Amino acid sequence: MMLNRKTHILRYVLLFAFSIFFVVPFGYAIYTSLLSKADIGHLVLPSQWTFENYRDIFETSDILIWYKNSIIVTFGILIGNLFVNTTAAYSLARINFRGRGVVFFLVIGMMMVPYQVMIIPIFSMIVDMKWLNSYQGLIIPFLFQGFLVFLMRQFFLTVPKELEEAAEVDGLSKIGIFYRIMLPLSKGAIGTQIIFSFTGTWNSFVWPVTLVNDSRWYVMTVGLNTLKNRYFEWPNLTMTGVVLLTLPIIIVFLMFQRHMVQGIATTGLKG
Amino acid sequence: MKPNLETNLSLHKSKRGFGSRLSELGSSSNFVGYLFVAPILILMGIWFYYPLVQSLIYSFQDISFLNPDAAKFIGLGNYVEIVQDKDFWTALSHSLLLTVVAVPLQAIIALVIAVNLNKVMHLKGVFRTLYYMPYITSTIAVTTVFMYLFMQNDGIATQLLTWFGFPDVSWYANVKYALPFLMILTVWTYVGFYMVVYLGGLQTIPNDIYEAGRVDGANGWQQFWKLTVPMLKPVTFLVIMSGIINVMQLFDQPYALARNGSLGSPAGATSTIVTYFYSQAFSFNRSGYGSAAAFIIFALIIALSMLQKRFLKEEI
Repeated sequence: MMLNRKTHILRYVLLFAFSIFFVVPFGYAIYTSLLSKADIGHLVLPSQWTFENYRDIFETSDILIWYKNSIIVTFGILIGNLFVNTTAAYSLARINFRGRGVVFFLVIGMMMVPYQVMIIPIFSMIVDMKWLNSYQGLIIPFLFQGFLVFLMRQFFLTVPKELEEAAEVDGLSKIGIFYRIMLPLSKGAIGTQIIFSFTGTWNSFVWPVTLVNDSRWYVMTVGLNTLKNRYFEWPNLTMTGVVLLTLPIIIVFLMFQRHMVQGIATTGLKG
Repeated sequence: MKPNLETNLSLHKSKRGFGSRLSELGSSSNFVGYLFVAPILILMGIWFYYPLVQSLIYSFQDISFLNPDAAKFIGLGNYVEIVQDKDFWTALSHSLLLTVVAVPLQAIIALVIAVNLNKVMHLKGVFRTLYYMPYITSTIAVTTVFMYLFMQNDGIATQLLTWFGFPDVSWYANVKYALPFLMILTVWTYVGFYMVVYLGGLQTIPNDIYEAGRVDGANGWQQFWKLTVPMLKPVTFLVIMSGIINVMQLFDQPYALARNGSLGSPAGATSTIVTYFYSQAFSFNRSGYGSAAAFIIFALIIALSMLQKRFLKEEI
């Protein structure tokens, strides 16, 4: 028993020690964002903290526009994903149509291919369509995701078949079953989809940096990168940018984190 | 939603015997099946499979973004040129080095933390959330913060590391330390994510195995090596696989730390296969050459994951 207690305390020591590696970078970002220019690099009391960096950054940069762009793009992709992935997943899990195997293979196959293979032709397509620096260009190519279809399909497979059969006997069509039975049951799985889609889009960098070259069309990640390059000598300003970029994702994560952990547990991993 | 004619029909038919009902269900639900996969089929066709084929064609062409009409087929020319390019091999060696160091390191730390976190009663959720946060934080934000932490003179991490004999330099801008900086950044970003994956795996191990082990007199350490580690083998496979893919794809971090310099700064010390690909395609406008590089990355990832699969199988 003594030994048991000792190992228990040691476990906590390890976990707390490990926490330092995570508290320090996040703490540094928040703390530095609250410093006035004179206080950079010093430890000062909370009474000296200031929000002037936040005011300055909103006044002197295009961050408000980048925020707006990020929000529009993230929600556009999220809504598209929920619709496209969920219907496809249901069909692949529960409707026995001819050619299902081929469609499934095409969807799963996408998870294997790195984006580098597609980004050159897609860039050319976007240029040809005059979609460079546009919401269409930032949203439409990303409305579907093989991994999320797979995740939803795994979920639909776990719903007992008897439920659908009973509904069918009661006269519900396949579409009716999908909307009235399956969707209400899949709140958890949809939560998982929301968090994966939201974090993926909000944090994405390589696509928006490639498909946009006008700073008024930047999303937050691209905006922060330019901000960092411009104000590198002023950590209080760049850290303000870091906090503003990170805060929404942390909030969404805390709201949906249960679903994310569940999603990882049911599918193994994100590809 | 109103049931349409087609599905209505299937309902009437389905009232007959079970055997015929099954076969008819198959054919009549074809329509709804197609309707539901239609959006993804269309989108996938335009934004995935068409570009995939297009890219393959580009990779055999001498073609540039600046003048796509002047494209001409050169067979394997691009691939041959890549294999002969010293910069490609440098970038590849960086990617492989990052993989070989970061992937096992993050897997081991993640496992150790998960096993301990799994056993404690209090603050479990707080620790888990805290460790997981880097994974959901933007790579650009993380790189920005780490650049300040590893800065000469003022960086907290730099100062701490001087106690262990490391020089007081800006790690991200130093030819010798930029790659280790990337490794630290990578491990820090992914370790919490893999810890959660391991936590999920630990939950699937039945408790009676440990009880049996205890009866046989196995102590905690032996239980860990003889029971936990072998039972988690499938999870470890996933963690290593996904780790390889993530690290081989490293791009945002070197992009951000290069600041206004060229990709792979300082002096190519942080080039990865993806930054190599990207600068060929989008800095030098070589869409054909870039496509060939993309397919080489694709092949590499598949080769690595097959290698790993075989390696793990042999051990079992």
